Amino acid sequence: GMRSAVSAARRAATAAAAASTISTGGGQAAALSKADSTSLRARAKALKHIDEFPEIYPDFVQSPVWNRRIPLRESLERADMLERRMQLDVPEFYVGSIVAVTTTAAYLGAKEHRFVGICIRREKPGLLHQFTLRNVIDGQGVEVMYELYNPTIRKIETLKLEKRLDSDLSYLIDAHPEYSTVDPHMEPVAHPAGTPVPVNQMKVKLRPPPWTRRWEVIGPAGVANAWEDATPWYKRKFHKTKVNDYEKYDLIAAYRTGSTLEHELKVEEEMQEFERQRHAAGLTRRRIFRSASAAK
Amino acid sequence: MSRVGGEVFSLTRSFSSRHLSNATLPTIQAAVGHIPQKLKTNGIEPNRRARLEVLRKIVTRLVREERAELQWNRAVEARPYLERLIQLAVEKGPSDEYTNEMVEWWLPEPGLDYKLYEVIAPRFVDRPAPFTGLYRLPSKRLEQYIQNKRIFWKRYEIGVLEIEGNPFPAVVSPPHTNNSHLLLNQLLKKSLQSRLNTLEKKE
Repeated sequence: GMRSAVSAARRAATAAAAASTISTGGGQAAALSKADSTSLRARAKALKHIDEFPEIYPDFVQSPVWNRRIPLRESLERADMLERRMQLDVPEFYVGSIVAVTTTAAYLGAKEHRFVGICIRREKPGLLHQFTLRNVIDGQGVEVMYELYNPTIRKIETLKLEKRLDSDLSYLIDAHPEYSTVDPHMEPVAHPAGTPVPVNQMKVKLRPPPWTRRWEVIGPAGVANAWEDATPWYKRKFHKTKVNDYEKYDLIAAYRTGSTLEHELKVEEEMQEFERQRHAAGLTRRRIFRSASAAK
Repeated sequence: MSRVGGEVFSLTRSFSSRHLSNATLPTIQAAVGHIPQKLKTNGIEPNRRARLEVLRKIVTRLVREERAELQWNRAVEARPYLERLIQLAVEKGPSDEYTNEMVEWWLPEPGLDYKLYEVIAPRFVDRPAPFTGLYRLPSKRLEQYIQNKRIFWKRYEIGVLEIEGNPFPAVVSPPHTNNSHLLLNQLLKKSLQSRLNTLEKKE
């Protein structure tokens, strides 16, 4: 007891002599952690970071609502998502790509149902991620919303990999039907590996109003002269709307709802570690982390 | 009608944001709250536009002067905007379309975009974030108006917002490396030494 007390006292005395026990307070900037952008960049290079991560994996991006970003819940959901992606091959597809989804249908003779259409929306983060396909069948517009992690989905195929000018093609419902008609028996178009995903520059012509939304105010890039074709009756009705296009200059509003590099690197590391474990176990050769434009 | 405007705003953002710039940027090293704070706008109708105009005035002034004394709440609110603008200039540079659009709007004075790209951004190529510093000053009591020979005062919380690496002397002098001369450290040292001596004597 005595010996240990002496050694503790000696240690304390030397520490007090060596270091300054009371330090003067620094500014607020010093209190914040210093992010080393060079080390982040090095980590991104080591992980072969995909620049289009939020577009390829919108389900792995954090919620745009801050108080729904719960680290524990997110990590549990990610574990489930990775497990599911090992069972089901989820190919790379974007809003504007032509996608075929095969689902189990217990009451159909074939026991399964295949739907082909243009992907018009990808929404919601995590296990709740949804995507919507649109096609015109027998002159009738059909939109089917699929939950990506619904266990009744058997197969997802990307028949044509491409992007459009917008990240939401909801306006196709108000466009002429030829813009959303896809052949349900179309052959897949191969994407040459290592080339960037093409952006289809198509401008869609809308039907005259009424529309589901105010496309002339929203002004999506992929819509051609929405306002010119409107009849005077609609122009009179709507000309008083307040347009607040200055909102796009709110840097921090965009920052709040957007993704961050740190989160993306964390998820990429998890994905790669998960793949490595599964490949080492010799159970599968399937890869989750990949991108058509970055492939060799 | 303003409610309709709000809906349109949220739609517009979800439609356009994803194609603006490709690679995601790191988090900014300034405190960002999850709700934008309201700012007083001196007679202009207080709306989101007026708030952005107040912030734009502060950001422009800071890029021009590199250090400014502001009301504390405005400095806190303006800091992330300045931080993000400098981050865009450092990471993306003038060749990026989105960065150029933002710099053009946030720095309307001629020559300031040049200063941001050519003077401020090169400073931070090898230097880690944060690119800005925020310090609190003692609050100030300022005369407001005189009514019935009585003077009315108002107390303002003041903060100093600055861009790091500016040519001015430091707001807070660098901490002493050796504090062993301070009274408390001397007393601690002596007491520990005497305790050690008594323990060794007992042995």
